[in-house]
Amino acid sequence: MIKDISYFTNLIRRRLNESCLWDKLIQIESINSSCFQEAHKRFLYSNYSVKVIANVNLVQEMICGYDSEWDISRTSERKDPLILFATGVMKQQPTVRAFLGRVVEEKFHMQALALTIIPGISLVPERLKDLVHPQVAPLQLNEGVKEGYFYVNLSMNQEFSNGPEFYENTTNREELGKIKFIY
Amino acid sequence: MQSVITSTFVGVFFPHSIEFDRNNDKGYFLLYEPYKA
Repeated sequence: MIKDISYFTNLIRRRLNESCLWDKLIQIESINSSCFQEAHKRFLYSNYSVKVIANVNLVQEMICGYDSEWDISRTSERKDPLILFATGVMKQQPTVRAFLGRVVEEKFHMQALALTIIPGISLVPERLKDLVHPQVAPLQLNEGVKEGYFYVNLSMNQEFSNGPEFYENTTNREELGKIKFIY
Repeated sequence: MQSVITSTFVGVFFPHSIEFDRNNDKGYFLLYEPYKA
């Protein structure tokens, strides 16, 4: 069966959204854990990883390709998750079936030949919108680029000391009090 | 089992978690499975 190119681009895009969601869940969790229990539970089920073994030069190239001012000696400065395309020869590891805890299982070891970092856009599915804590919500909830997702801008360093942005309009209150509503 | 051809894996990567082996000029890190919605 031949599938056209749009099928594959959609597939990749969906993959990316999934990984972005994953990253966002971690960030939101650190702000407010109680209202994200459902999401947290789901996050815990993500439990396998690929161990990448790469040459230092390759890692340096990867880091410089993403940000030219970033250096291999300062990798510990950034804590944000990124999305990485790793190409190489993968070697499957024996499955340890007793491993059912929170430990992430290494299913494959990869000898990397090419590494590319792409920036992660944080998207959260629509169905989680009701779960957003009011303290988080005013930050910025935008409609996502893709249907069914919304975007939380956590980089806006907003404090909640000055109250909500939507104040009650009291200017017409007296006039409204005089109007009799007939139902 | 080892793949004969090269394959590409898209994963979530944490920059602070890279470990370097200076003697062998290698870097090690984990790529995590993207979360499935």
